Amino acid sequence: MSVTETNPNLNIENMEGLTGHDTEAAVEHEAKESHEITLFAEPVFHIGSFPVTNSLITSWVAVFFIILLSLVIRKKTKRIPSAFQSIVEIVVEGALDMMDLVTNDREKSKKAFPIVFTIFVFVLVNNWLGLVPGIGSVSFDGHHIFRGGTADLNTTLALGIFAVVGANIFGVMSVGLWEYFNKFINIKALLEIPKKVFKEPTIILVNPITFFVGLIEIISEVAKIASLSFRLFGNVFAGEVLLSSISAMVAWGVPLPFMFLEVIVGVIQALIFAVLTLVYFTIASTSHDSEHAHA
Amino acid sequence: MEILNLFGVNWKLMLAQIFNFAIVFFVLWHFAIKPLLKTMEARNKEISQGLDDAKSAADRLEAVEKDVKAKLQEAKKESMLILEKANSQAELNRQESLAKAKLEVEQVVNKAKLHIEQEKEKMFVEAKQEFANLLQTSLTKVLSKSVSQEIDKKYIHQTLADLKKNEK
Repeated sequence: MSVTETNPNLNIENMEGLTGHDTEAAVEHEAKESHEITLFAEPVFHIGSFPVTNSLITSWVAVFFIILLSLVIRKKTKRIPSAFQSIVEIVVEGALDMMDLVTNDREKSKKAFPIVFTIFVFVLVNNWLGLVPGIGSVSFDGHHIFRGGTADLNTTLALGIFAVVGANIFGVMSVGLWEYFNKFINIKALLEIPKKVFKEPTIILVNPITFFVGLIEIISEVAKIASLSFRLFGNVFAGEVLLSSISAMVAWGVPLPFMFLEVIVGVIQALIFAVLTLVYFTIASTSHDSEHAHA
Repeated sequence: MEILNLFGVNWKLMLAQIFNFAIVFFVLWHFAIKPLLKTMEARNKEISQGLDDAKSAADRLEAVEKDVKAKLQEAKKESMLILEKANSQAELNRQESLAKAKLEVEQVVNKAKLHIEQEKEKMFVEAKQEFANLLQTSLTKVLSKSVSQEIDKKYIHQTLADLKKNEK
């Protein structure tokens, strides 16, 4: 079975009527049989009931690599910078400048910087690790041992949840719990109706709508997680499928331009994920009233 | 939930990935970004401090230069004044000394003149006496027999009168 013949829909049909562990086993069986790229990360081995997937192993490699990089940076950080430190400083300063374009406030940028920058680095390293030769091809016992960390929806979902929950916590810290709560369940708008109804009769129509808009905001938070995670997963997974397909057709030379393309895609996707996270952070830290005032 | 199964979504794996990310977040922040930002901030502070110091040093230097210039001018003026004063004092001293010297010279000259006069007077008296004696002796010897005492005295007086006349 070639890569181009891999059909996710086929998996769904095969898995109909199966749930939980059965589904996982079926999925694993399917993957074992095909030896090709699957939509899901393949479990390589189990620790108890915990499946250690190939993408999780790659993520560990990424974590190890980032830890190593951090320690090197820590060791090399001096008052008079070396060439290496200068490059890192240029990256950090550039990232902060770019964040200022979104937040318009250096202090806010500095507060969001640790999470946003970590997301960028984590996604970037995972994206690029997926491109390292051997990552998608080394197999053991019929399983691919490695798979790009971000080519697994579990990773991108985890990152998406972390980003959105982080943005909400940041929002609560910035504008206060009551203010932030009213962004979603706008009790303030409801309480305003009896107070201002005689002065502004239109409030009886506007404020219930405002209340419902707040409820829609809750759905939009979930949508943020979905959009972040599926975008990243889709792009990285598509890139891996593209590279595998091209490699399967012509192994020598031809995949090279696509490889470069994926290197760029890796950076762009990491950047998009980080910038969107920053946008969510900025929106969350802006008070609801000032949003209306701007509108 | 079928779609989640299709993508192999597993809450345990998600949790593991969140844990992975948390480790990365902690390590990257604690070991890399935080010290780096701290160093950058310290350096920026040092640079701006250095620039401020350099500016204030330049300002101070300018002020000191101005001060030095003003003081030099003042000192020059003062020195000129002192020089002028010294010159006039010296002139005064010179005049004084000159006057004093003149007076002293005059006094010495006067004294010498007086002394000479006195000496002269004394010499004249002595010479007159000597001459009178000599004359008397000579006359006595020459005219001892023919000239009387009266004529003798008359001659002496005549001679003395002539002497006085000559002296004048």
